[in-house]
Amino acid sequence: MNALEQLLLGWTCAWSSVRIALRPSLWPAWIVLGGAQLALLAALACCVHPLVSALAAPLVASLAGPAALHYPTLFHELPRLFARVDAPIVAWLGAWAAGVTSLQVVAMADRASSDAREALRSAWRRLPALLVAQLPLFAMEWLLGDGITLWLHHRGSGGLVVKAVTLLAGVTLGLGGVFLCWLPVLVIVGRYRVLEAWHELPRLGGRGFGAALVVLAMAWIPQAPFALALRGPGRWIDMGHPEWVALLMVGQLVVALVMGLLATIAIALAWTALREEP
Amino acid sequence: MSRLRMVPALAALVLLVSGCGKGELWTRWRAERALWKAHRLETRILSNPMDSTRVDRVMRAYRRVTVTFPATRWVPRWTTSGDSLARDIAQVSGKAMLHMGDLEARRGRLDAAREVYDEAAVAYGPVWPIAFESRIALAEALEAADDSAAAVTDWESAARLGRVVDPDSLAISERTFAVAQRVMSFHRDAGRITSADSLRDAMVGAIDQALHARADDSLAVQLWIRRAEVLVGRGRPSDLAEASTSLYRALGDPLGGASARDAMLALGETWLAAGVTDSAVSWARHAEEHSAPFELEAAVDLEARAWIAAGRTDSAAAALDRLADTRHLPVGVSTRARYREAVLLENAERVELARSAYHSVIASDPLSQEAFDSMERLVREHTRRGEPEFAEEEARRGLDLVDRTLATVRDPEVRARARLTRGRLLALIGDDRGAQEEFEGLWRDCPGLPEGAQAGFEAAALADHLNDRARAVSLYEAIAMRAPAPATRDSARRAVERLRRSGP
Repeated sequence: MNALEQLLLGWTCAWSSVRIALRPSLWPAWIVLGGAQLALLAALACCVHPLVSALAAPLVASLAGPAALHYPTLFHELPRLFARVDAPIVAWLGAWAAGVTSLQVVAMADRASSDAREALRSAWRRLPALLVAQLPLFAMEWLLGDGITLWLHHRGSGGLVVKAVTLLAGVTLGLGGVFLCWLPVLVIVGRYRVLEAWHELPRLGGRGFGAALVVLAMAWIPQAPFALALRGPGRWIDMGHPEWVALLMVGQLVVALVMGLLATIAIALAWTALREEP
Repeated sequence: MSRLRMVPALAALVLLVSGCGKGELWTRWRAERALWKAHRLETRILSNPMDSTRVDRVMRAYRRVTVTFPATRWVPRWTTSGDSLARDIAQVSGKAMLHMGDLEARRGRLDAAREVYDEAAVAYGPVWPIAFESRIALAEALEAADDSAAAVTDWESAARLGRVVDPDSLAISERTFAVAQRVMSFHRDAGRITSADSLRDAMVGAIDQALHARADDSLAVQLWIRRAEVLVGRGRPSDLAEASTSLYRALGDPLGGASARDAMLALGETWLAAGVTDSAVSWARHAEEHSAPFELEAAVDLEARAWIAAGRTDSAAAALDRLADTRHLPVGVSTRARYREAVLLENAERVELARSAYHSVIASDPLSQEAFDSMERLVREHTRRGEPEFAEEEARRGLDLVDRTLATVRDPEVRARARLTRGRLLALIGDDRGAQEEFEGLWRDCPGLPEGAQAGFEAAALADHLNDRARAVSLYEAIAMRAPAPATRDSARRAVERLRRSGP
């Protein structure tokens, strides 16, 4: 499959995913993931409320310092704080939701019977293998996120160096994501073992790179405005609306969930097309 | 399935445990939110000239904070139980009351402001930042009402209430030291040496107490340095000796690495105050060796002052020259150093070198205050030496540069500086009418800028010089009404009285 065919495949799969995503049977796992994330965000944003403060306030104070328990400093820290606490939930429930959807979509493509409950259970059983397979992705996310920030801070870099390194890290992380996005479908649907999945990745990554690039880029575009708006939460505070930071984060969460569902469907569809290739 | 049933049970348990959270944490949050919103309302609607309805609206917002979180509830709770959250809530409520006082003062109701500050000082007495700040605000309100004698009492109360170490941030409380220095200056200027010494002793006692509590702390080094600075102010030989002992202790502290430079600078200041200029220079040089480029200015400044005190102007100029040639300095440091070098050289009658340094300032940083001052000094220097042609040539060159600046720069402050210089250069070459027009134009266009008020004064002085006394009086009256700084308005009022007394 040449590069143009790959890009067209990605576009077709992304387009088809919108129609397929309208089936309610695909939503439960994503609702569980979204519910957990929203509950966590609410707990962090209201960490001083007596209902949650016994657990949430010490957590916030230990991660962001005691100043984060004051108004409006909490909203300044909230995006970074949530990103840190949310990472394990996304790694665990996000991988599970992606696995469930991949199973259902491939079953639909194969015109096989697909039982939603069975898909939930089956993905749950394969989850440990998927988590192990995705360890390089988690390591890369940490190294190119917090790791790079710590390293730049340690060597006292500033200005252009920080911008250039952050941009490079972002591009590397994005390309790594494009390469590794096949793991849920390989481990959960293809039932590959961890080593087999890693072995298969270069071949699949090479054949489907263009398709994955298109799908992930299209999934990222609607999230970009939220990411940009939340890059400097201080501006919302300066404008006199600290609470908007939390509202924007809710919006970002919902959009990210929808885009996650669409991207997972599109990747699963692309896999069904690519596995037929010799 | 049994696992699934456990989920609600676990959630209920979590909620049960979480429900035991501290209510005060939430109360503090609500108090901070209410204060923040009120302050936000103030900055949003009071950026325009003060409007009574708007001020009342903001006052109501602040009052709501003090009523919802009253001192009568939260202050006793802090004093009896020592609950830091109760103290935080009382502090937020006290801040709201101080803001109310500030608003009253801003709209000219000084009596009402004083009442509010007094009430805050009494109601929030045990909450030290509020008691301290309310005393300062009260003193400032009294000073604004020209009641300096009563103001001193409140300044003194504030200084005695102040903490040398802020218990919240665990850092040196700069404000306490600033207030104490101010009160000591008041007393010294009024000849009340005993009162000044009494406060100084109280400060030294407070620092010693803090040092006792923080002997093994990196803050101790800072406290030793502050102790020395307070002692140096009195200037007695025994105090200077004690100050230097404090500083040697700071230097010898193994935790004082980061503050070593500060200690060296303070030692230099101590020796300079004692008149031992060699030691002052020596410590200034040690401090320079321990300074990064961005903090070099203070050390070189000390060295230059020590050389000047020793009567060695050339060495002072050389030190400033070295600083001006240093790379990676913050913006403006090199220009300031070169300008000071030029002034020193001019005072030492090293005319050619001084002129060259002035030209260097103008060429390297033409929009700086120092560049505009250099243009004027060059013209004055030629005039003083009886060289009117050279003075006129320098003035013309300066006017060309100022006109180019005015044609290309949009920054209102730089433009105001340039126009003021233009007026002065015109006056220096005898074009009084041109200068008068320039000064009056600048005052008319920028009455809110310091340069505008200064231009107003110079226009009035020039009008008086040209025997147009009515014009001078009208200008001074305008300044007395429109200038933003109270001191400027006072000076203008005094000038009007002087002109009226001196007759038609």
